[in-house]
Amino acid sequence: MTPEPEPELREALLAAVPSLRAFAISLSGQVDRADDLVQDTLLRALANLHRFEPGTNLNAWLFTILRNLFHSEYRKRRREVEDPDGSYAGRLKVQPEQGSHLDFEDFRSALAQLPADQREALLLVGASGFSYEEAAHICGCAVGTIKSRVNRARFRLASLLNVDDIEDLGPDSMTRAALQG
Amino acid sequence: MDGTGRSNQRYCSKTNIWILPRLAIPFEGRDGKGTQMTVEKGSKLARVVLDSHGDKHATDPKLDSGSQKRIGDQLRAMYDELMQQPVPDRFKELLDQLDKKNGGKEGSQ
Repeated sequence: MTPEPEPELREALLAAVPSLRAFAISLSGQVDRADDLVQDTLLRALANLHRFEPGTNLNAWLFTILRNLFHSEYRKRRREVEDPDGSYAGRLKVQPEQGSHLDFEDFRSALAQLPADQREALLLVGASGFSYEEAAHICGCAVGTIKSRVNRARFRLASLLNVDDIEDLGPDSMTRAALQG
Repeated sequence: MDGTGRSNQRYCSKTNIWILPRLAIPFEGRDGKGTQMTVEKGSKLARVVLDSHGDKHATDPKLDSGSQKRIGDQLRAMYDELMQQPVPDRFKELLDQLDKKNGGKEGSQ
């Protein structure tokens, strides 16, 4: 007799794969590496299922695993990938004539130039749909730290991508921005 | 009077004034990395609006709402494209295999 697998769990894990992949690809900038990360995440999740508290957010748990795997792997090959203090990004000249048209390649390359902690905070909050609190839990840091990283990430992306709102110049836009917080 | 509580300041004897250590506002995050960001005048960089909420991160740079929205839209568009990619077979196969392997030991309660 073949033991019955847990179809619900299998479906839930499978359903999480697209968002895990999107996160991993955006985080690592490489599809192959991202798929390896997702695979390792699933393996680790299955091996540690007893630690998952039913009723809590499965996606957040999986993202936490993936994020931790990414960082432990990243620490091993730090030099080839990144720019921890963003000095490269800071040196990069903003290209002219790009203010109005942005495509994904520009965006991905700008994203890749962010320090990893800022990139992941922005991806979790701005794209993956987690709250600041959930993102803080996933990253193991304070909510205020996440907010700060997201702000810095947006700011740096805007600089790299030459995003500008010329028509918005003036005190009104500053007031609006302050109100929106 | 002079000399108390002014350890960070310098006195300029030419102009007879005390000089504050820096006029630029450093953006210091809680992770302790003091990133100094400056906006070049006259460049097309997005403008910075200081966060006026008065919380711990009041000195973090903050984008104006228009730039923030464009960054957000762009990010989600890129992400949605990734989310819509079909799930590679390797993941389905992986979960199938593990279901078979784990089914006996850790099956449903």
